[in-house]
Amino acid sequence: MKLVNIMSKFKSFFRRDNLKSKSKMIIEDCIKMPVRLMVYPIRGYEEFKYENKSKNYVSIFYLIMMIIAQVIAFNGDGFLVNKNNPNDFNLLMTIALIIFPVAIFVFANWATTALMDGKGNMSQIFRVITYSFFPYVWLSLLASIISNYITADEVVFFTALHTLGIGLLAYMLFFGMLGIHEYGLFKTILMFLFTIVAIAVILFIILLFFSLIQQVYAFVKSLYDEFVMRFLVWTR
Amino acid sequence: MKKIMFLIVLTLITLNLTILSVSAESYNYSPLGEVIYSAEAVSVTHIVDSSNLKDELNQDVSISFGELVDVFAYDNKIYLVDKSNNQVHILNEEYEYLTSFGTGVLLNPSGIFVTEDYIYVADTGNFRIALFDHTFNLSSEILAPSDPTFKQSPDDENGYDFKPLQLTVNRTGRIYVVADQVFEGILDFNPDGTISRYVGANSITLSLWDAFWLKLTSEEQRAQQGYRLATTFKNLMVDEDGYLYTVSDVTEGEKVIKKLNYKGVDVLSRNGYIPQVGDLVTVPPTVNLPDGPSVFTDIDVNEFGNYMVLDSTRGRIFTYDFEGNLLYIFGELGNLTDSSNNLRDKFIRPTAIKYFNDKILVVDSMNKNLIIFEYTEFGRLVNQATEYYFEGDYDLAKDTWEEVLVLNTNYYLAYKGIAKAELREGNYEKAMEYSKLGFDDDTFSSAYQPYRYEKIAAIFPYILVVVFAVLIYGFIKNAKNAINKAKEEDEIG
Repeated sequence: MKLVNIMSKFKSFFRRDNLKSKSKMIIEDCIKMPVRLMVYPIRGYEEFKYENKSKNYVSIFYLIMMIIAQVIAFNGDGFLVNKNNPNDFNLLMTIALIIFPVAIFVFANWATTALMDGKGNMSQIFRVITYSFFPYVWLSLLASIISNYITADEVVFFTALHTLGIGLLAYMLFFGMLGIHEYGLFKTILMFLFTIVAIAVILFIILLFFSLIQQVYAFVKSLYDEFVMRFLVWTR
Repeated sequence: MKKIMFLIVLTLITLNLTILSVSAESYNYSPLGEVIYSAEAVSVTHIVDSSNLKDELNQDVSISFGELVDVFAYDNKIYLVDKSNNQVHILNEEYEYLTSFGTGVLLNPSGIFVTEDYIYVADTGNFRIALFDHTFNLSSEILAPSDPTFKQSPDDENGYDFKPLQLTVNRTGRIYVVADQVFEGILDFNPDGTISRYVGANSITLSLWDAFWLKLTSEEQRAQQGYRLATTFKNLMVDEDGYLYTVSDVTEGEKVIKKLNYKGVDVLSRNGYIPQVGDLVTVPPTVNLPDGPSVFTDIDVNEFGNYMVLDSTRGRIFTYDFEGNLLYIFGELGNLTDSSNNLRDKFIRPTAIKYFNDKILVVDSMNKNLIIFEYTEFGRLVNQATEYYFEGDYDLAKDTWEEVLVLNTNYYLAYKGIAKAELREGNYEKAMEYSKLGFDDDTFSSAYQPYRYEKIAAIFPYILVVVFAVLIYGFIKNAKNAINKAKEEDEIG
């Protein structure tokens, strides 16, 4: 019964008019909204927050796109700009190096803004961060493509695209945070500084936790070994 | 018939393998800085020590080598500096003993250089440079230069003793000396023995952190910290054109090898895959090998601009070409586990190296021997290729590099060399392929530019045709519309 339900849903998604309206909606959400956020940051983030114009699936989409862009940049960049050793490629590491910083940043920012009267909630913070990947993702993919067709003199364009991507990322992140927490300029800067401190504290606690866990594990293991040696191993 | 051909090929391959076996010790660095196995570039052919030393009449010589610290080759004669016996031994090209000199005249000599006129010996113990003529008579001496850095007389309270350690003499007879406790650079003596200047001093660099702390400290605190001294030179050699090749202490970082021009400016080209610092991986996989950066104690340069440096940490000799590419690495320490069980063809404490015709001389101060290396087929081909490249015979260089690749497929420099030759011939696609294999950005870029131009030129007319077609179509359509509109208006009007 359930399967039939899912199947019918699946079919209805791919019906022609549905497909048309859905793809229009996807383009609206994934491309037009982030562009609007870049062009009209103040009004855009107001709509982002109050008019329900930000979608979680777009967040996930750009998170995945970020990973894909990193993977393509590692493996597909042109010969002149790609100094990576292909043997060093590690997919899990690439994923972790995106997911964990995002998670820690979301948590640290949420923790700081909770103390600083920020009006944004955790889901909004997450969405702001992933939406701000938008310019970087597309510019990095574009840079990866053109890097295959450039000479040494034109490597400048490649670096310029990357720099522009990072700059726009920072810009969107800044105005996003300013918008959803409803801060002024100065308070936003202060909030970022505190967030960095919070990240440092979180990393420290994680390290501490792991080293303690290791010690506890070692203790339990030695206890277990002792038990086995003393009572279970038969010795003459 | 086919079977016979196959057998012949097979035997040829196996023969090749037996002639040129790749030993596990021989290695090189890939452009990405990884350790990769390499074919052996040189092999030991001769070992001369006190036990097998013969004179020209094939008689045993009753002389025992002491601590050998330097070696020089001139006019098919080999000069060995024996520090503990205060002597210089001379061998001929067959490694037969000719004569010794210096007893009673020299005290702890440590360096030697021979020219047509004189034999220059750094007579460290007597605080002088001794000049002998070729009949081994002391013809003159160079004492401490008249500079307040040095003691002017034995009972001078101020200054250091003038202790020349290594020296080299250029074509015009100028004497360049590395002396102990001198931080101002290399001493440059006029041919008549008077001091001319200091040349090529290493500069003192402060890290940002040091500079920050220096700003905070007071004058008195700074006085307590002691001097920040420039890195000292360890050894030097002059080439045919008068450039000084020097090796400094490890604190000089990536510029530990320098090529100084007459003004004392470093002009060494550093276009290799990896910096010229010897070992990149300084923690060796074998536990018995000492770790830490390579410490260079000697350098020698040949007529094609290739230079080799001796690393005393792990007893290795690194050879670079004139562009700074690492060509091959050879030599190893032998007394890692048990010093009593040392192999004679391995080093304990190698002190000096020297090119000698087509051979390489290495002296070891603990083994008290002279080891003669000769190039293998692989090493000879690599040298040949770099020589052709140095002289500008790019086609010959390419052919030689192809032979090198037969012996060692992992020799990245060969791909680079072939790529350069292909680029000159205008085979851009091949040049791109080889430059990718050889990690050569410049050649790739130079080859890709005309290649891309060719490709675009080939399709550009079609693009132009399509664009024009669209434009004309749009123009006609617009014109038609306008005409129709005008007609309609006319009809209405």
